[in-house]
Parts: sequence; C-alpha cells; structure tokens
Amino acid sequence: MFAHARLVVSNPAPGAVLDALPSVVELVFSEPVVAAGRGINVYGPDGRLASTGAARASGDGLSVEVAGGLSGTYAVVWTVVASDTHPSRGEFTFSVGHASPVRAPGFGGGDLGLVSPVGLVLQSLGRWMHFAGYALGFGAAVYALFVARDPRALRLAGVGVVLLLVAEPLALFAQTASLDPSQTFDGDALTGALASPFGRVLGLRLAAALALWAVLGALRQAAWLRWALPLLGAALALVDASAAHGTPLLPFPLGLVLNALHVATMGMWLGGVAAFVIAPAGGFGRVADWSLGLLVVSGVALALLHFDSPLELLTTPYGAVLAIKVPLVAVALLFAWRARHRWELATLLVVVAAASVVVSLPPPR
Amino acid sequence: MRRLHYGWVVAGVTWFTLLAAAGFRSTPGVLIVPLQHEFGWSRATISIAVSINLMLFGLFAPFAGGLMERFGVRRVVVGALLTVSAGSGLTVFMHEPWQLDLLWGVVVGVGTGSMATVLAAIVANRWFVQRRGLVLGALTAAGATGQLIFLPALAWLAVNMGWRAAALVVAGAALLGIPLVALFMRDRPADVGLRAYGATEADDPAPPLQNPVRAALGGLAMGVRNRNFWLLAGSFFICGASTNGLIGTHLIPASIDHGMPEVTAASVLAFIGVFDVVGTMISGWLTDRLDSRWLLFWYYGLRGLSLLFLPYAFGMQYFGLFLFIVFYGLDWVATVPPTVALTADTFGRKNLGVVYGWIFASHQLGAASAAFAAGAVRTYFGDYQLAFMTSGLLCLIAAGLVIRIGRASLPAVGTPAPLPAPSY
Repeated sequence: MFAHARLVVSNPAPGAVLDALPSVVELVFSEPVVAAGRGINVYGPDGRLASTGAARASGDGLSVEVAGGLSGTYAVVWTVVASDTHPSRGEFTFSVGHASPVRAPGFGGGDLGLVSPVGLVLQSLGRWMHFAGYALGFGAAVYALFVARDPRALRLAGVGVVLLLVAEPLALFAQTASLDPSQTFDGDALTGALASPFGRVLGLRLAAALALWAVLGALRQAAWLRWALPLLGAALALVDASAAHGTPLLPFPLGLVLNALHVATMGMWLGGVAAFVIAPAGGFGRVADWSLGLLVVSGVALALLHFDSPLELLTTPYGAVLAIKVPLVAVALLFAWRARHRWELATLLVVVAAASVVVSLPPPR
Repeated sequence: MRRLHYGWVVAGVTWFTLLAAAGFRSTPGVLIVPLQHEFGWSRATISIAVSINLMLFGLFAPFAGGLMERFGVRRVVVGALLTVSAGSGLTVFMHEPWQLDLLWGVVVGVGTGSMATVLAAIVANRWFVQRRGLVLGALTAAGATGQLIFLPALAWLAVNMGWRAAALVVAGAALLGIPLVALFMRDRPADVGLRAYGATEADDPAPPLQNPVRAALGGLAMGVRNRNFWLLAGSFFICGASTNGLIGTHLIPASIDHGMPEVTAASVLAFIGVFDVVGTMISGWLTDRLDSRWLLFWYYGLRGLSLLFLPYAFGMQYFGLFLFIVFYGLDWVATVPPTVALTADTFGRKNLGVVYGWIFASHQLGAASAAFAAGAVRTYFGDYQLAFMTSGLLCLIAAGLVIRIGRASLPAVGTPAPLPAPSY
C-alpha cells in the first residue's frame, strides 16, 4: 500500500532516554521513501545540528549519522517523499542522560496530515485547479465533440488548459511548502522536489496539458483528431491515479484503474455539466447517467478500501472531510434530478474542493 | 534521354559546399584540448571562441541572405570560402586568446554562416519548383553529415600531426572549393537560359539591387509584422534548443553519467546522425506532397514524446536508448524542409533568403540558450532529467505553435482533393 509515508519504528525510539548518543539515527517508514532535502535533521540540546550530511535511504528505511558529546534532549525532524509523490514530515525527541528543553528551530509547528498547514492549503488549492482544469479540458471537450457537436462548449477546453498549466507550478510550491514553509521558494528544496518521483508526475501532467493545447489547435483542420482527446484524458487520469492514494487489499493495477476511473468520470460529469450550461444538448443525459453511476461506484469502493471502521469518519481528518463531501454529492444529484444545472455545477465545484482536501490528507489505511 | 537540368549541377556544388562548411564549423571542438595543452588556456577561455563562432553562424545568416541577393550566390560563396581559409590558416601564427576569438570566432563564424542553411534555402527555391523539398532535404542533410564525417579525421590529425595540421587542412580544403564554385555555380536559372526545374512560367525577375544590411533589416521588419513569422521563429527556437543545444552538446556527458563508455556514447550521437540523414531526405520528399504544418506538428509532437521518454530510456539500458535513437534521430533536422516551405509560402520566394535567415538565427539562439541552460542545470541539479523533460515539453508547445500557422496566405493542401496539387 502506498500513500503518505508514516514513521513506523525508530532507533532511538521517541521519548527514549539513553546513556550515550548512538552513532546513527535510524527511521523505518510504512513504505519506501525518498529523502526530501537532507531527509533527517537531528538537533542537539544546544539547538545546533548534530547530524552530519544527508540521510541515506534503503527501501523503507532512512538513516543519518550523528555526532556530539552533549547530554540533554535531541530533536529529530524528518522530511520524506513517498513513491506516490506525497510529501510527509514529522518530529520526535530522545534524550541522552537527562531531559532538557528542546531548542530545535521550527520544532512543534502543529502539523496537519503529516505536512505544514500552509502546505496542505496549497496542495488542496493546486489539486482543485488541476481537477477543474481536467474536467473543463477533457470533459467539456468530449461533450463538445462527441455529444453536442457544438464548438461553443469547446472554448471551455481552452480555460481547462490554462487551469492545468497554472495548477502544476502551484503543486510544486505546495510540495516544498508542505515540507518546510520557510523553504517554499528555496532553490535546493525546489530542485529536490523536481528530482523526486513528484518531478516526473509534474512533467507528465504538463505534457498532457500542452498536448491538449496542441490537439485543440489541430482540430480545426483534422476533425478525426477528436479521438485523441478521450485517449489523452484517460492517460492523464492514469497519471493522476499513479499519484493518488494506493489502494490496500487490491492488486496495484486494479487500484490504479479504480482511481483513474474515479478521476475520469468526475471529469466527464463536471466538464459535461459546465458545457451543458453553455450549450445544452439532449444527448448528454445518457452520458451523464453512465459517468455518475461509475463515479459513485468507484468512489464507494475507494472509501471502503481506505477505512477500517465507520468510526474513522469522525475520528480522522480524512474521514471528517469525506463525511462533508458525501452529502454534498447527494445535493448535487438532487439538483441534477430537478434540472437545476447551474446549482448542480456550483455544488460540484465545492465537492471537487472537498475531494482535493481528501486527496491531500493521509487515509486511515 | 533528356539533358540533365543544370539545377542538379548547382545543387551538387551546393551540397559539397554545405558539407565542407559543416566540417569547418565543427573543427573548433576538436582543437579545444590541443590548444589547452600548447598555450595553457582554460577551457572557458577557448569556449568563448566557440560560442562566438556558434552565435555568428546563426546571426550572420540573414545578412548572408541579403549579400546573396545583392552580389549573387557565386561571389558570396567564393568570398566565404576565402574568409574561412584565411581565418583557419592564420591561426597557425596566433599566440594570444583574443586572436583565437577573432579568427575562429568572428572570421570563421562569419564565413561558415554565409554558407549555411540560407544557401540551401535560396538554391532550392531559385532552381527548383518540382522536387524542391527533396533538394532542400538533401542539402540540409549535408550540413548534418558534414559535422560527423570530418570530425574523426580532424581529431586524428590533431592528435598525430598537431592542431596546426588540422587548421591548415581546413584552410586548404576551403581554397580547393573556390575553383569548383567559381566554375559551376550559377546565380539564377536565367543565367544559363533555363527556367527553374519544373517551372511552368518564367522565373521571378531579379529583384532590384539593395544594400544587404538594409535588405536583412527590411526582412526582419517584414517578418515581425506577420503572425506566421513569430510562430515559425518560436517553433524553430525550440527546434534548435532541443537538437544542437541539448542533445548535440549534452547527450554524451549524460550517457557517461549513466555509466555508458565515452566511445559508445559518441556512437549513439553518430547513429542519430545516420537516422537524421534518412529522416531529412524523407521529410523533404514529404514536404513536396503534404501540408507542411502537419508535418511539423507530427515532428515536434513525436520529438517531444521521445524526449519525455528519455529519462526512462536511460533506466532501460541499451534497448531503450536504441528506441530513442531511431525515434529522435529521424526528425533531428527533418523540421527544416517544411519550415523553409512555410516561410516561402508566407513571404514569397524573393524574400525567402532574408526572412528565413532571421528564423534560422532564432534556431541558433535557441541552440545556444539550451546548451548553456542544460549545462547550468547539470551543474546545479546534478542530473539532466529536468533539462530533457523541459525540452520535451517545449517541443509539445512547438507542435501547438506550428499547427496554428495562418491559412490565409497558404495554398490549400491536404483538403479532400484526390491528389495534392503542386503546392507552390
């Protein structure tokens, strides 16, 4: 299972009181990780860095050498990126001889979902723009070219391209801000983010947006190229799925397809409704029914896979936001049933915002 | 049997000239290490001369176009060969870095710049109506091949007989080319009482004589007012950035970074060159038959995808790299024939030389920026992944640019007509 990396075991353990400083601090995570920045910083009782150099990764483990003769409380601050691109960070202390006040810089920041609060906000905003851009870029374009055959709705696809192109740099800054808000625009931090798995996913997302732009330009001369749009949309859904929460209990390819299906049907519904408001067409009903059905089924399946018990809807931040999202989907369905499509569209944009927060939070499992 | 059209003779002479010019231009690369050994100059000092050479090679192109319109192709090429010969020969006596900058940088840069791709564009367009794309493809391929076939010999000379021998051989080869050009090169079909190959009406009359600098700047002024110029120059900037600048300069060090021996890495580049010759000839043939915008759309799109694939190809060892070589090599400079055709369609054949000169200058500007930027990225990031992926994304932008080139001034090709009519 791949999602946000969590600290499972550490040596020394959090809160441990040791006789002497060990030569190495070792951390073991819930999944393979890449160090972000130096990966592990260990601060001595004097507030100075006690770790030497960058942390070495090996599978699920991360270790760094420490040196220093002071007794007192040491603070360990770790920053990693999971193989599904999600950043996470954490901190704990251990003491040598006796406890003393912690004097590490930026310690005790009050994290939300394993990242800094400002990072979580930026991540959610970036994902919201990405999902909205996806829906307008591909959903509205497919509506315009296959359902309504109306060029008016195609203009929404241009808006989608712009949203996608703005969302990706925002996601980059969200990544660095999640690990350390003071390093958001730091060259080394941005470099590290781009060199991690996140960098490749970012490149592929930009590639999909630019390819969409190129195909939209070419459509005027070759109508058959419209078939490239659903293909490109499916490809981007798969890229998004590769960076979404891994699904426990399912084989990896099946989880990937389930996630991609959820993204793609979201795009078809939201993009389709937006296009319908501009250029209504009778044929949309059946497309909307199918995407709605698959969207709900894949969403329920994903939710069931991520929860151990229904109680987690109340006890975890992930569950709480999902508990807000689900009734909103019901409201959107109600508007759809009553044919109040502008209200349906507005509600859906809020639903996608909630989904963006959900994807940025670590799932219960 | 029909007599051979004289256009083919001119094309043949031009082909050899371009082959030689490409060889001359690539010589400084071979001389870097010997010069370093003899004079103790740093690599940065010597690189300044190479940079001047590369920049002038591009920036002098529009003025060369103007010179050819004013003084004629034959005189300009003879003058350029003399210039290269003098610049290369005089290096034997140099002992200060500024002399290297002046001779290899300025003199050879201007000389080779006068014979480069603008010459190919002018010859193909003046002498050919049918088969124009094919001729242009062959001439462009000569420029790419020239850089590959002379380098091993020049390197061997520099190593075994000293760099002065290599410089003198270049000077001698340029001098030998002069009688060939003087005897067989003709400016226009009318000079030998012919029409252009495949032309149904008389050649455009020779334009009034103009000051070449004014002609070059006039071409720029004409270009910047036209949307198609920006689309062509922008896509060609990306073309230069993603070929000469990025792959030409950095593929070998990147391959070495991934544990490939240097000789193998150099062979990779050579194979790209081989596929490039094939690809450029095919591209020329296709340009005669299909809509140039669509050709460029696919070239840039596929090049972008192969660059995005490259970071993964290094992980797949030789098979992945082989795929990249084939895919990418085939459209290394395949973009030239359709770009020239679109420039000619938009601005007319009589303005082609100067306007295309500026578009080519944009190509070299892109090459120089990418060569520098990729080096900086490597120094700073310790890996080329970002440079390769950025170039891939830029190529997708180029695909989007070329497909938006205006239709108004273009003939209708690729419309449902059963057979595409001759398109110029």
